[in-house]
Amino acid sequence: MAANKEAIAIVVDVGPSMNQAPEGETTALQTAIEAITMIVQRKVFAESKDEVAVILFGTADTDNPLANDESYENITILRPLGIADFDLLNLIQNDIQPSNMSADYLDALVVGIDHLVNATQGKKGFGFKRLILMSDLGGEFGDDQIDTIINGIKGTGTELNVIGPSLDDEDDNDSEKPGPSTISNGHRKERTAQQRAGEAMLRHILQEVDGECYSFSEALPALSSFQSRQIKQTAWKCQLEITSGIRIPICSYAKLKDFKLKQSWKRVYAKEPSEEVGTLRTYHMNDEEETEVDREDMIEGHRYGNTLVPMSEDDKANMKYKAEKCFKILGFTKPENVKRSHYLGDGSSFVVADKGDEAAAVALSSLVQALYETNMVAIVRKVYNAASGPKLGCLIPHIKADYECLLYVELPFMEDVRQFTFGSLPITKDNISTANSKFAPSDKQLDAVDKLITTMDLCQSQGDEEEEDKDEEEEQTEYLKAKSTFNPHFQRLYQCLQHRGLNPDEPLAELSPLVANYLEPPQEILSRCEEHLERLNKVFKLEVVKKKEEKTGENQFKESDEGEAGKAKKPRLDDDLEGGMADITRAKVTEVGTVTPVEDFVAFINQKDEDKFEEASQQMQKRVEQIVLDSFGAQFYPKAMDCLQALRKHSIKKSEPGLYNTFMKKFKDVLIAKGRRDFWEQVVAENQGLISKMESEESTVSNEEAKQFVSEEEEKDEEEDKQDEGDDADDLVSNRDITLIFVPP
Amino acid sequence: MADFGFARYGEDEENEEDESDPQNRAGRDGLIFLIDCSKSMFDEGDDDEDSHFQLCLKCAKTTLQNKIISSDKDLMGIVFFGTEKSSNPSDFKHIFIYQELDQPGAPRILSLEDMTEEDAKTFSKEYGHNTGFALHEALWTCQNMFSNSSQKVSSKRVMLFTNNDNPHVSSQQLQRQARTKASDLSETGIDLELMHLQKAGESFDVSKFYKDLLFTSDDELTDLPDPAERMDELLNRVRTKDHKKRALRRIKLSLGEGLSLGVGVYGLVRSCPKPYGVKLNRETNEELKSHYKTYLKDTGEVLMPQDLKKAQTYGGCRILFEDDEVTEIKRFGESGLKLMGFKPCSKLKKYYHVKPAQFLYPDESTVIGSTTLFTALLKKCLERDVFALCRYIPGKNMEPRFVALLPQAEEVDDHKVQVTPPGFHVIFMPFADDFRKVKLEDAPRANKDQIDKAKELVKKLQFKFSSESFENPVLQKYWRNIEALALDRDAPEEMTDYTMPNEKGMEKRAGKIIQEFKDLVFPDGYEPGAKRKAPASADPVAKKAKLEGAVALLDVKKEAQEGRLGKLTVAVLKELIKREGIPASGSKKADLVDCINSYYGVS
Repeated sequence: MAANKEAIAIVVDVGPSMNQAPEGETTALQTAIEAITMIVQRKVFAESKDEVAVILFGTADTDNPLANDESYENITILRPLGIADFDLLNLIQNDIQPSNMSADYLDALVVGIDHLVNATQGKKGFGFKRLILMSDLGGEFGDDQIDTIINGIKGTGTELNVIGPSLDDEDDNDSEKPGPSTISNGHRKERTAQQRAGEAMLRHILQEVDGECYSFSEALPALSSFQSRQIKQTAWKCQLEITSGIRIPICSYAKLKDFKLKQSWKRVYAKEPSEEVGTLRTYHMNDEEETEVDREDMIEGHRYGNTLVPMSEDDKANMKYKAEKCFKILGFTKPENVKRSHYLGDGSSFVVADKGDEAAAVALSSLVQALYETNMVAIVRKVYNAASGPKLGCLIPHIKADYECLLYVELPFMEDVRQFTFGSLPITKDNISTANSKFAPSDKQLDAVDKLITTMDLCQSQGDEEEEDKDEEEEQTEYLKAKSTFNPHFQRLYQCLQHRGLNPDEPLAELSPLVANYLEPPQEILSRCEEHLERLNKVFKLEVVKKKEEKTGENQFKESDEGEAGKAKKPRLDDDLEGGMADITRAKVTEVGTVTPVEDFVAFINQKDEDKFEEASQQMQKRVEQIVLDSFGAQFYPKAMDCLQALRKHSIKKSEPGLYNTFMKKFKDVLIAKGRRDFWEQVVAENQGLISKMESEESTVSNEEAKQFVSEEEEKDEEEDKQDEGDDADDLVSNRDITLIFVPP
Repeated sequence: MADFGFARYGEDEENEEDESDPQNRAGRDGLIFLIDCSKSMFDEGDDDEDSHFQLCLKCAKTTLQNKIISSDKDLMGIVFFGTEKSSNPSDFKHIFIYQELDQPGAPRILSLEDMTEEDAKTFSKEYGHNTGFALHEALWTCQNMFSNSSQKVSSKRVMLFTNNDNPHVSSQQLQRQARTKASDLSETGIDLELMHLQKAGESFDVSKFYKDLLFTSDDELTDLPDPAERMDELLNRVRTKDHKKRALRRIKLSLGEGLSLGVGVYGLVRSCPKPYGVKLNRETNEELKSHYKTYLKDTGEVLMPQDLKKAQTYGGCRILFEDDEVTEIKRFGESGLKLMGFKPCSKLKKYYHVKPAQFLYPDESTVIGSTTLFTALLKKCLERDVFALCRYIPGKNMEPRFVALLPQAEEVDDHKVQVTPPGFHVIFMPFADDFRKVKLEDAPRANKDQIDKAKELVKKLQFKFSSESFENPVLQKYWRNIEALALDRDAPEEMTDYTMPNEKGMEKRAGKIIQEFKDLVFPDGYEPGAKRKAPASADPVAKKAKLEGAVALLDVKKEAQEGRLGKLTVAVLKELIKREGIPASGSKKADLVDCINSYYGVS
């Protein structure tokens, strides 16, 4: 077993300087906790075998094996090295508390190294050790052990990462600059002399051990480097052939691959999650009884247009395309012939010569270099294994200072590419025609766009222009680097999994601000481009087509169909099953009755000639209220609920959430006042509360408001509520007419 | 049962929740081939070339076959005009509906095949020729076919095949009527495409008559291609138009607060899979419906969606969510593209690839004025060689992804047929999660001679690659077989696997260089992939011996009793099981240990 596990000691400063922040802003410690939580979350939910220890310094108490009443005071091993789990997440959440003690960060590092070494001793599989220090270096420190530390880190092959001070501007003696300051958490804070001394020392250490440092504001991007080894590198071995004459043994490693969650969602029974749930697919004839057909009475068929072709197992076996594993070059071509927008598949990989085969390495190297120098790429047929079909791919030379390889990406077949014709756009003079000249941008407009591009450049040189003498490459900061941007969905999911795991009864956790932050353009850039955006707004005339017309897809079809087909049209089988022929033949509806309120309502609002929604909605509201209040016990509740659901659905569909929301607010009070809380609970259970902005853009009710609206009452009667929920579900399952016996307790 | 291949092209697999949006409901395309059957269409070329009419039929047949593969729900029809005989519901003269608008299927292809093989005389006998037709009546017939179709057609297109640039030269009235009808068609949403052919030594002047019949919507307006002379040209033109382009979605691209333009997102490339079979009733060959149900294993009780929650399990802790909570976790705001900033194109690394790209084109139907701003943006991005980095939320319940909007200028081929449309490619950026760390070892590099030889090789084996010339052999094999069964042929059509290297050709072109290259880079007697001298431990024979040695020394029973089995390797455990004849199953270590323990009665 390869040594690919990682042992991580996170050393966190909880001392006083970590806890200072202006009103309303997060402290460095809070950011640190958030960052640690994320590191650990990713380990837990990726089911990583890596082990994590958490060590605090600046604690009131002392708990570490090195402490001897004189040194290593106020350092606590909160949690010894172990696999990341819920307990650890809990500890991080609850047991990292600010203190007023300050402790020596160098001492804490020593404790960290010591712990890493001792705790991994005798355990197999630890290939990497990592020490993460989170501190703003506000506390005092003694430098007598500095060499021990450096040697310790080097000697044990540990990687040191620091999240804390910003060590970017090394030119402390630059007199032109205002006093050095540290950007921590977005607010600038004057550095104390103590911090400066601490930084100088840290810089020395980092230099010696080749470690890395990130400021708190960069904490999130920094995390990416902590978790790159979760997937073991596996090689696909084959021989690269250029005719049968040249065969080069190669390995191919995935470089990028669309990351999928470790676990997929499993369906469980809500009432009793531990019971096993099975799934079954059954086949039925198209007759009225939907007679079920046994497996042995079935045969596989394949469509050829509207012709169905039955096929035996033998036919099927004969028809299969058989291929052998291979990696064969078909020829070479110019890179222009391989369009980037044509890349297929879900990743890219690096192809290198087989490990330890020097002749192969030389052969591949000459090919890589030759392709690079002639500016060509290779087209290759790849068969992953005998069970998979051949793929077409291209090999692009990829040369770096310390390695060279071929980059493999899958290309489409003829069947995979769709040729659509799009109108010419007036980009150059050649493209301008009489038809599209009306779209040609003016010089003024072009200039405005040009300025926008300049101001919204995400790869600007950092700092001032005068620093030109520095190596430009080095100084460039690139915002939103792919490598340091996490998929926010996974991050959010981990967060929610943790939250729900620890608090099963609470609603979902809010999105972490650290994540929400990078989903918006960087603040600096936004403020810089503001004026240009305004200008763009002035020089370009943009007019949003009204919502009503935006729904045209449907309307247009309807209209054009009518134009040609007249009344001979087939009934539209939309989601309202109530519609159809009956709807057409029905006399014009002007009232929502009590017999078939839902049907009436739908017919009412679908009258083509005029918009009757408001009227219909009001009548429907009245009906719902009446049915509920007239109900004997819960007798008519299902019917009322049907009405309410229809009303809500169509309010969203017709972009009229306001009417429903106003009604719902009043209705809730009515229900509670008239002792119909049981119906209200059904409303909550069925999610028939307010229509939030999420569901309808026209709504003025925020998501939180909508949630609050239904939760206010809910919490009090939780017990009761749960039971209702269960019974409700039964109502929906069985025929509604026969569930009238149910009376709530 | 789902549709396959390009039939589902307008949908995104993650797009379930958007299905209620009519824009995303992939409708059927309706396509009518309207073929001129005047005498000149049957003129044969000099050396037994196909007549124009034969070209059209072949084109129709290929299109039918392609439709079956790509979108078999589409409807197609074929109408002849300029025949002596007539067959149409309005009793128009010299217009013959050869195939009604319907789904493609085997019988239609067979009948087209038969007709292609007939010679001009047979056709004359069966259908005759007559130039007394009226074009507007032909168009009317097509329009009627669309409106009488029992199936809902969401896009309607007529392709008019002719080699006569002025059919109603002597009648102003007929010309006017044709123009009126053409504009009528355009207004009812039927596209008319001219597939003009050119007689040898003559030219086809569109401006004489047809120009006024063609109404193309702005977003498809390109220069009219040259008239086709050959089959492949004609086919190529038909291919670019035989499907209505349908946006995956129409969303907004926001450049900043209060500044948004409308764009359509299109899929231009996507893996076309081999279709699954359907289940038929063995006796009647009728298609069966399937139902899916979830039940409790214990009691067999059938569960409804409301009874279910979603769960993941970590460290023995089962974490439950409601369905809509799982959706909520994915929700990051309104759908659309949001500009984050610009980066030089060089920052878009070649290996940044996690998903097939999409394509953006302005959409005036959501925001008027979008095209101008889009064009300005495209022009400037091209000039400055930058891409726009955007946050992309395709649908409101879909997770965000960062994308690079890569500018693309229009490209046309020699016949003015658009090869690459103008717009932005949407390249999906990877997230940190998607990167794998690849650790490569230091390897020896090639010297100049070796590289030079490789360069010679590369130059010799150069070709012009295009995906268009590579069919997917798996799909082709499948369809040819299905086709043979459907059309009752003796054997499936021969298939060339273009993904196999042309070994002979390559030998011929570069045989000598290949040999020289081998001599330069490989040591004498080099056998690729042969086991190199490896350390003793990796030697399979030595390994086996070592294993046997270890096994021989062990007293299984004792090891089991003292609970040390877990310390042994799987290989040793297996050996032991074999040696002692312990009944065992499974291959996991825990299983093996359990088997041994239970054999010796150790718990």
